[in-house]
Amino acid sequence: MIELKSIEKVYEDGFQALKNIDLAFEDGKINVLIGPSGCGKTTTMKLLNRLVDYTGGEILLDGTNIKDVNPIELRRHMGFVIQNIGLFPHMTIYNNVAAVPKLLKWPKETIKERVVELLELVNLDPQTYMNRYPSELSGGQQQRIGVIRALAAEPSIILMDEPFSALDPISREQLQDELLRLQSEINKTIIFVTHDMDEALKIADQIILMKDGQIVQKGSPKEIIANPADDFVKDFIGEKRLAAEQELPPLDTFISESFVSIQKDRSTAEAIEQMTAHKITDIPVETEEGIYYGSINLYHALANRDKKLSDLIDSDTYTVENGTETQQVIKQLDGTYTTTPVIAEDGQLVGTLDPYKLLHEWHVMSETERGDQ
Amino acid sequence: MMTFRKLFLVGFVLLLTIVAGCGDKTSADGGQVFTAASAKNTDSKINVQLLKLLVEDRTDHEIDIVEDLPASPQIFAGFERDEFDFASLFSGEVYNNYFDDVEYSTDPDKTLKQAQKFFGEEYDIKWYDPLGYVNNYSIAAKRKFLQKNDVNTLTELGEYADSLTLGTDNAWIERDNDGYKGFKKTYGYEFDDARGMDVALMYEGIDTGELDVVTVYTVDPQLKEYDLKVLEDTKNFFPPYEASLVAANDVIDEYGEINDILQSLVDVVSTEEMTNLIYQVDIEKREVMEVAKEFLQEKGMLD
Amino acid sequence: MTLFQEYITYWSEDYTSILSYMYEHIIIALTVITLSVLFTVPLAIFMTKMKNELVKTIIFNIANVFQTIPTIALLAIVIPLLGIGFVPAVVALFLYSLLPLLRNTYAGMNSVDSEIIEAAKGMGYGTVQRLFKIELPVALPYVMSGIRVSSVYIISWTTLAALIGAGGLGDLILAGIGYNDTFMIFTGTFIAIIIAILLDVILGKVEKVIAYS
Ligand SMILES: Nc1ncnc2c1ncn2[C@@H]1O[C@H](COP(=O)(O)OP(=O)(O)OP(=O)(O)O)[C@@H](O)[C@H]1O
Ligand SMILES: [Mg+2]
Repeated sequence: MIELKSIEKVYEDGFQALKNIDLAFEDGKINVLIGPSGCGKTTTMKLLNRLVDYTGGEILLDGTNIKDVNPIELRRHMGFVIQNIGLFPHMTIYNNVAAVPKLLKWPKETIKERVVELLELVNLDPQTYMNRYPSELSGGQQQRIGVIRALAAEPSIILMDEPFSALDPISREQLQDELLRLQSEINKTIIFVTHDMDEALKIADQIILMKDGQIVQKGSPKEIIANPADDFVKDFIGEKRLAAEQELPPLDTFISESFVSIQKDRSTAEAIEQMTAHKITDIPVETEEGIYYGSINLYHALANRDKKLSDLIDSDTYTVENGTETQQVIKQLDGTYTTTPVIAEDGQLVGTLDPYKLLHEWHVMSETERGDQ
Repeated sequence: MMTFRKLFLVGFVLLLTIVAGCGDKTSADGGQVFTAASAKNTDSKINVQLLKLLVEDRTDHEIDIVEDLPASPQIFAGFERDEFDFASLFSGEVYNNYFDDVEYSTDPDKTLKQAQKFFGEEYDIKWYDPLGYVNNYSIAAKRKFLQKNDVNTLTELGEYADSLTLGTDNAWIERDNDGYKGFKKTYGYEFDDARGMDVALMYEGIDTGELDVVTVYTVDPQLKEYDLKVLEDTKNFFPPYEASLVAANDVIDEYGEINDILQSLVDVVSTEEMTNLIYQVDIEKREVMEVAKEFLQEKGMLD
Repeated sequence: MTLFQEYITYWSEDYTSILSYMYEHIIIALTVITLSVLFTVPLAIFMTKMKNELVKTIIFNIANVFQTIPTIALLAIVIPLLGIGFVPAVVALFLYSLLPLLRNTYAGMNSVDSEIIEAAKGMGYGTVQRLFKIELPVALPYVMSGIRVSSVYIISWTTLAALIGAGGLGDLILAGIGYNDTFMIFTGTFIAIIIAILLDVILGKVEKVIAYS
């Protein structure tokens, strides 16, 4: 855990870059610093590995003041991906990645294994790329190397200053996905600087929004979107994203509480009767314990009155898992407008979705959005 | 656009003048403009200046002087390309690797005759009789050293040679007959070390004691300046260096008045007078032109 | 006899003296190059680390002054202090070579991307490690090309050593001028050019060897 307490930074020329920063970076989380250019993101980050020294307050690293730690040691145990990559042009990819392990005097064999492992982690074939020079790699490949170079010595903290900024949207998304996948495996404390709100929303556990050397708001992506602190934050998130994320109510709202279902051991006639009574074409089937089993179609049942109910169950019908984002569900609806069962994680049938109501909501939202533009 | 065209025009006109200049130039008084060449040594500069002053005083012609040429080959090359009309040269140059069938001699008259004949034919020039002074190449050493050891001649110097360092110009070491090789043969000894270098630095070197003996011209004012004494050339090794003015034949054939002036400059400067003139220029830092003018006035050749 | 035959004869008669001029030339030039590289490269590196602009300007100006002193004057100044021959020639040429070497090395070191330096710092390279493992190797091609260019200059300037009695190919050239011998002038010049080209090629190879080690 890294804690910044009332941090101030005044540069030699008298410019105050940071004002009263209070911040905590928890272990194993991705923390994203975001804000307009010049707001102090890089400065904040460089305070952590002491490339820049603060002029007021204190920074605690697991409770120890970082001014009590030898800066060179400190840096060797903090991965660092600088703005614009900064690979060493005279070193092969192997030596670039191996740089910090070599400084830490790891045994040769260990270093080699580590480099191979890291290259594989970012889908670069070690045999092909190990002996190349940075200039012989594409921009995206270089950024991957920049990232794994920071990971090489297994630091518990990784600082990344706009690591994906120079990339096209597709490579950027790929690397973001890779980072998330990596993080799920390695669980580091990551401090990530970006300009890009989409990126922040996608990867952050905690977003820290800065402006003019101060923190405007910090919190999880959901918290920030749900409760933007002021107009600056709203502006920064963007109306569209707010609209998209906010105005569609959660899926619960569209689940009919008084849904009809039938137990697996009932008769076909009973099922037909139920459907006719409630004017529906499909009915979900559940076990005695309330676990969803499949569904019966009215027309199918009418054509096969003489068959057993269990023979008529279609277990392949479309269902929705409870808790899925509303936006996501809308994208997946296939237009058959039938009753869609909603299933809990443990398989319990929790209700049915009303597609008409859902679509109505979506239409209303789209109208407002268009009206706003 | 206008200025561009103007510039072009001006450039073109300039170019024309330059091209025209390569042919016959016309002096302010309607005469010719000639070119006289001189090497780096001050006496040659004075000699061509004497010529220039008289020609410009007595005729309508003018003379441009080209000074500080590295050595005689550059001057002869200039005659060959018709760039130079006059120059001041030494008779001893005839032994300087120009001709295969020249006969080496230290007799002044024979040397002069050979220079007049060989150079005259080769470069189509007239080599006048000497101006009068002798500027021999020779070896000098610190007067103090010579007095202490009672050395007066090059023969006597031989006794000390193996502990002496010689400073000389870069060419002397490489010369055959009249260079270091010939010297060693004639006198039968060599110096401990012989170093070729710039003449000005050579005097600096003997002054600070880095060098013990140096090759000099007998009229060099530095001899006086640094208290050096020229050793007597007992074996008559060094070739005579008598300075003459030379002129391209086609020039004096056409302009008889210039030939007369050149003739009048024969035998007018004694060695003592020349040493004095050089001293005024090199040590007292006076202008060559002033010194030359004063001299001609004293001689009554100029008003 | 054809000109070519005459030239062959000249070589066969004079080759010992030609080779000794060449030897002197190479020794003087190499001494100057070695000394000035040993002196200038560390100085230039030190200057890139220096914050004080004024001191830098002063150093550059001193180096500049040496360049502007006319050769003969510089040699004349050196004689009372160091005499004539090898030592003063080397000292004078050394002073001349300061500026181009200093300037090229300084520019080379400054050409290292600040981002690369920052990355190295942030990864935990110490100052000395950073200099030797990152900055110098990255700047090497620039620094080496500065050394190569300056070395070619020095080979050519070494002909001036003949003015102060240190010999070298300048002696041959000046003797040729005074003695009316074109072969000498040509030979002196030609050998100087060959030495310059060879040295450039060798330094190029040296650069490759250093770069890959
Ligand atoms: N060495 C310095 N001396 C003086 N001021 C500086 C220095 N470094 C940065 N600053 C100033 O501090 C402020 C914050 O800079 P910082 O690099 O932290 O911005 P940033 O948020 O990372 O911006 P960007 O998104 O453009 O990278 C800027 O106004 C900048 O001009
Ligand atoms: Mg930044």
